[in-house]
Amino acid sequence: MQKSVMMKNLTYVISKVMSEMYFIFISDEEPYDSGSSKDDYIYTLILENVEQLLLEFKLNKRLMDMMLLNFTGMELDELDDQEIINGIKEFVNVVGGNFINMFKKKMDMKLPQIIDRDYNPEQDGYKLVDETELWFDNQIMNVRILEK
Amino acid sequence: MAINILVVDDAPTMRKIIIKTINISGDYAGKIFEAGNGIEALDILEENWLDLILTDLNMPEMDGMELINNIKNNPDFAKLPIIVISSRGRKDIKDDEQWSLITQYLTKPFHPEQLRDIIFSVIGEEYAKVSDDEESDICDF
Repeated sequence: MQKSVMMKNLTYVISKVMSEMYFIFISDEEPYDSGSSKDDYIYTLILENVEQLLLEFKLNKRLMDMMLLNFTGMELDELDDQEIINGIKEFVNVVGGNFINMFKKKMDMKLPQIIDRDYNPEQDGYKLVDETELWFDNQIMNVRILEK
Repeated sequence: MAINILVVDDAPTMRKIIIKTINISGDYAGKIFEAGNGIEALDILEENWLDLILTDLNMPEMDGMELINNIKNNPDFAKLPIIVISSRGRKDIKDDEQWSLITQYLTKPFHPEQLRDIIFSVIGEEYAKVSDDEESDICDF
């Protein structure tokens, strides 16, 4: 897959998964409340063949709560924070699986990880390929693709 | 006759969704067991009678294909139907031999009705008589 279309394809997959699994749709309206950075969680997923790609997803807790409530149909007080945090790994897993299906060559996919907010993949030799900001119901998801 | 089902997925929320779908799609489920990886699944299989396994592929400790290979290599369990529920594409299944071990394949994300229909296609039509009330529960899910 050419780098120029990677983010376009990833955005398509994210949009599909968010709408079909979580019933949340991409919005054209810029959020007026993006939440504070201390509520952000960063998930990474490594895809590899000859080269290694790292997908990074940054979501705030409010978006994560919304996703899990819609996905499970449960009330907020029925889900604890750890369940919600771990539940988003499944989102990353499904996005990753659908994304690698778009590659012509077979890519191996590692298990999703939650990383420290202070960690920067660039310090481990990753270089930024592309990044974008997606808006969902007044919340922002930041997405980056990096390669090694 | 109720069937015993094992749901294998490392995501607890996904297991909850699958079990919820099974429960509201009919009265065919007897006991429903859960496992977070292939090793836990094999432990449950050793100790309980199972009629159907639903499994993810990408899991820690022991992934889905290794689990399936272990099951099918055991003559006691070789005929157990296995439905794979995974975000990985069908091209992730290496060859025809691996494909032959899988009864059905469902790609994530999926609609609950798709899961219900695939389960019924495996367990047989006698379980597929869903009442109007149960059908509306599926649509509301």
